[in-house]
This record gives sequence, structure tokens and C-alpha cells, in this order.
Amino acid sequence: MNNNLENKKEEIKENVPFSSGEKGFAVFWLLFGGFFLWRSLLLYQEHPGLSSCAALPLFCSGVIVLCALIILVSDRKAKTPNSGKSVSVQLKQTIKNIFPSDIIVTIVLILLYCIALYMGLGFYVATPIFLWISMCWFMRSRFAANGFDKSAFAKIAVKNLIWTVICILFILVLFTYLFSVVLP
Amino acid sequence: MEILSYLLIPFQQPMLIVMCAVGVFAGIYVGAIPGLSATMAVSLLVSFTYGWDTYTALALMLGIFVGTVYGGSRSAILLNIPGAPSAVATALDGYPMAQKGKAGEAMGIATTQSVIGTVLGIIVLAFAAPVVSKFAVNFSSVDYLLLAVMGMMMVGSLNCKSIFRGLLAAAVGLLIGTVGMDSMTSVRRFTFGVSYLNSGVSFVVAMIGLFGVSEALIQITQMDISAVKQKIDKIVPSLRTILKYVPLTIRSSIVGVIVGALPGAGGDIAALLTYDQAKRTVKNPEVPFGEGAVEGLVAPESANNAAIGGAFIPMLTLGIPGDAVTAVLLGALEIHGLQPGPNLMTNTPDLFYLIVACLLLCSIFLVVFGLTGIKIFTKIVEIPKAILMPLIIILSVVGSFALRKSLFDIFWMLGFGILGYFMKKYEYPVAPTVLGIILCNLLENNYRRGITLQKTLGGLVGSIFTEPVALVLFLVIVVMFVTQTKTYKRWKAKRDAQKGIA
Repeated sequence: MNNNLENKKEEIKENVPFSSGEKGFAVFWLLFGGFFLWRSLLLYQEHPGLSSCAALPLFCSGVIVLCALIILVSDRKAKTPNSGKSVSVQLKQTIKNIFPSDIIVTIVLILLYCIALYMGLGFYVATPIFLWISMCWFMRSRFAANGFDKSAFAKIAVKNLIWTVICILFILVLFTYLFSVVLP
Repeated sequence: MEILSYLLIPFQQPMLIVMCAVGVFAGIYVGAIPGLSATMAVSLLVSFTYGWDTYTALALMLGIFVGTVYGGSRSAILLNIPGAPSAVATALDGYPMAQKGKAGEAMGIATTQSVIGTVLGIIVLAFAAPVVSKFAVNFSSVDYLLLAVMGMMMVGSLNCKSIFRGLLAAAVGLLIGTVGMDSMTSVRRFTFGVSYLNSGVSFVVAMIGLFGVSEALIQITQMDISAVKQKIDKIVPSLRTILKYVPLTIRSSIVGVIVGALPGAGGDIAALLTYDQAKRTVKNPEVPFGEGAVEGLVAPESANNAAIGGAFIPMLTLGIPGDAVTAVLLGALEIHGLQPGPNLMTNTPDLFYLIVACLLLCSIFLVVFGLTGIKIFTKIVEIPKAILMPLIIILSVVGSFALRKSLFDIFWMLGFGILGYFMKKYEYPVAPTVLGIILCNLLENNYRRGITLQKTLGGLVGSIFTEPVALVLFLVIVVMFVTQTKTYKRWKAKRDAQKGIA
């Protein structure tokens, strides 16, 4: 059964060179380009002229809009894993494709880390917490694949603690002594 | 005599020799670890070495550059996971060699051919750059404008699903580059009342996000790709083996230098081209290509390292980067107050020959570090991604904060990282965006200068057809554009099929 699944996945890969949400990304660029085209036109109205400060932004945003339209038109018939499905299913599959749990967790952790730095928690407090939690999350398959395994978690937690200390020492030596960089 | 004194600068400042050595050593491991790249490492270094002396910072970055290009081959041979894009072709025959128990031999050949390729590339750089520089002094605004456009198109069209994706990415980069106060009129563009944006978007922050964090996010989605470990024996090849492949090495290196010198094309293109060329020209290899042919290792490894010297030619003489790493180095030089371009040879000739000398030193260290330290190497390359990726994110956070000591730069870096993640996920090239941000000033200033001189757009366009250099560049751009369209590719495929039938 697993072999059939793998074969089917390969078949889909061969026949579907576009991934979920790829066409939607071109729509994003169209909206992005359209917004900046409008802003560039407003700027051009204030500062008209081919050698004005609005000329290049107008040109670039126009190119973005044009390229996005060409991509949308040329790729409109392309098959994606979402082809033939309802809008809600397409949306779900796209979000699952571009935001798997690892990515969501990573982005949330980075944001929390940045907020912690902004709130003044301190680099040497926020960083080890971020490192240890990230490492434990990425290694969760070793202790949470079939229910939570306490002893496996304890082993991983201690290992990651050691890795965190090594990383912090590495950062300390690198940034304080080698590069003399001011840390956040 | 003066040139010799410039070439001997590293020996008068031993710290430069140390930095070259440290750079090459670190670069080999950075290049070898899948998920880390030369552009990521050099992007971070631009920020970390901001407060350093220019020469010292440059020596370190050059070492990292040379080391990473070679280092990618190690993981390509041992793990079948190219550590750098320029090592993709190396994996095709390097890994099969390793599977047959010849991992040591493969790595030895990769090391020696990389060094020969690097040296050949440097020799061409040393002799060709002054000639190109003299020629480039006569370039007009229109020539520079077209050169910048050509560079971005080249980066955008190669290894891309469609040329329009590349053009879009380049246009996005240029648009981002216009954010902030206009350099000529001080008019605020797209700042939306945010004073932080008055000085524009820092290209270092954009680079770290687009190259560093985005790659870390992509690697996080590929955590389950595990490496197959190889046993490594002796790796120092015999002199007979090295000499046997010298003709192929020289041929591949020449192609590597030429491809590297094309704005936007780099070692990865050179490696693939020469691999393909070797496949077609080498008659009766001892082992078929794809099954462990030594020629399949020699050609790409010498070419991708020769491309390093080639990439510096347009970067130093024209101010147009030869590949993504030289694009980052261009930014680094500008941060240190230097202006690459035709006047570099006259204003700061010491810088040019220092780069040549440092590259030569780096190739010597490449021999030393490339043929030793295998046990340490295998340990470091086996560091799990779960450990490595959070560390890369922390380095990116520090790198983006270091330049302006602003926490907002970290948030912008994260934004660019997420944008880069989407772009890579949906196969939009990221390099043209970074190139666009870096080249925006050059492009805009030359365009506005050209328009002011010619008075009308028609006059500017007309001047392309009256100036020989501009005409050639324009024709190259047109050919590049046409050959990348689907219509042309369909026509070519039809023609090739008909030739095959005939």
C-alpha cells in the first residue's frame, strides 16, 4: 500500500509541476504591483517628468503588474494539486503546503524572540530559550511520535541544553571577541 | 614595480594572511553543510565586519567565498547533497565514486582541480581586468544602464521557470531600492510617514532575510532528508592523476572564467555547462558519466572555482556583480566607502591587486585545508539541521541588528525572510531581487543622467542605436529575452526534433 502511495505521489509530481497556491502568489504580485503603481502615479502627479524621482518607481511597478498578468495568463491552464477542488479545500491545502507546522512554529518563535528583545529581556536570556525550544520542537519525532515518551524527552532535553550552551559560547566568542558586534 | 608592491601587501600585514586562512577554513565547512551558502555567510559577514578595516574584512570574505565554492563539493561527494549550487554537477559523478569506495580519491581530485581552476581564474582576472577597465572608462550612462539591465535579466532568466518571474523579481528589487529619500531631489518615496524608512531599506537586511532566513525556513521543511555516511580513506591524489586531467581542467576553467565574467551568471552555471561539455567531448571515459567518471568531477570543479576570478572582472571594473556573492561583496565595498567601477584601477589600484593576492593565498590554503581534517569535517557535517537552523536564525538576527543597532531592522529582516521563503517555495528567483536593490542607485542615476542629456525618451532610445557598445548590449538583452520565452523554446524543440528525424 505504501508503495502505491509513493508511486501516486511521484505521478502527481510529474504531471503537476505547480504547487498549491502558486497561481495565487501571482495574484499577490498583481495586487502588490497595482498598489505601488497607484502610489507611483500619485508621486508622478506631484513630480512629473521623465527624469523625475517618480519615473523609475512607475516603470518598476508597471513591469511588476505586466509580468504578474503574463504569468497569470500563461499559467492559467496549469494543473496544481488544487485543480478541480472547492475554494475552501484549495485554501486549506494551500495553507497546509506553505505553512506546515514547523514553519508556523518557527515564525511564531522568531516573533516572540524579537518581541522579547524589544521588551528588554536581554540577548543572553531570550536567545538560549529560543534555541532550546526550537531544537526540542524540531526533534519532537524522537519523543512524541507515538505518544509522549518521558525518558526520551529527558534525554533530548539534556542534549539540547548542552547544544544550547555550545551555541551560546560560540556566539559569545564570535560576536564579542572576534567581530566586536553589539548584540541586541 | 608598483603592482608587485600592491601584491605583497598581505605579507606586510600578516593579519590578512590569517583572515584568508580562517576564511577558507570556515568557508569549506559552511559550503559543505547543506543549508548554508556562500551568499548567506558573506551577507552575514558584511554586517559583522562593518567596523573592521576594509582590507581585513575583504580578506575574510574572499576566504569564505573560495572555501564555500569548494566546500559544496564535499557534501555533494559524501552525502549526495550539494552543499552549494555550484556543486550540483559534482554530485552526479562524485557520489557514485564515493559509493564505490572511492570517496577519498574523489575528494582529492575535487580539491586539486578546484585549486587549479581558482588559480587560472585569478590569472585571467589579473590580466583581463585592467584591459576591461580601460575600455569601460569610455562607457556612457546608457551603457551602464543597459549593463545593469542585462545583469538582472541574466540572473533572472537562468534556472528559472519563466523569464517573467525573473523580470518580476528584478523589478521588485528595484522598487524596494527606491524606498526612502531620493538622492537627487530628497523627495520621500514610499515611506508612508515612517521616519525609519527615510534612509531606505538596508540592502544588508534584505540580503540576510532573502538569502539567510528564507533558506533556513526552506531547510526546516526538509528536515527529514538524512545523510548517508561514507567511509573516507586517503585523499591526496598522485601527481600522475593530476597531470592526466590537466587539459580538461584548463578547457573547463576557461569556460568557467568566461561564464563567471558574465554579469549574473556564476559557478553553478559554469559547472553545469562544463559537465555537459565534458560528457559530449570526452570519448570513451574509463567509467561512464553518471556512474563515477573522474572527468565528471574534474570539469565542474575546475569550472566553478575558475568562475570566482571571472565574477570579479565585471564587479571590479564595471561595478556590475558577476554573481550573487560578488553582488554582496559589491555592497560590502560600498559600505566601506569604495566604489567599484572603471575608476577603481586608477583611484585604488592597491585594492584590486590586494584582491588578486588574497585570492592566490586562498587557493594555497585551499590545498592545505582541502586535503586535511577529514575526521573533523565528517563530524561537523553530521550536525543535525534541528541544531543548525535555529543557530542560523540567531546569526541572522544579530547580523541584521549589528549594522544600525535598530530592532526594526530585525523585523524587516524577518519580513524579507518570509517573502524569500514564499519566493523560493513558488520558484521565483531571489537573486534578481537582491541585485535590483543593490543596482537601483546605479541604474536610476544613469537613466536620469541619460534622459537629461538626450532630453527625451526617444532621444535616449535612439542613442542606443548610435553608440556601438550600447547597441551590442541592447542586442544581447533582446537575444536573452527572446531565447527564454516559451515560444522560442517550443520552436527550438521542434527544430531539434526535426534534425533528429533527419
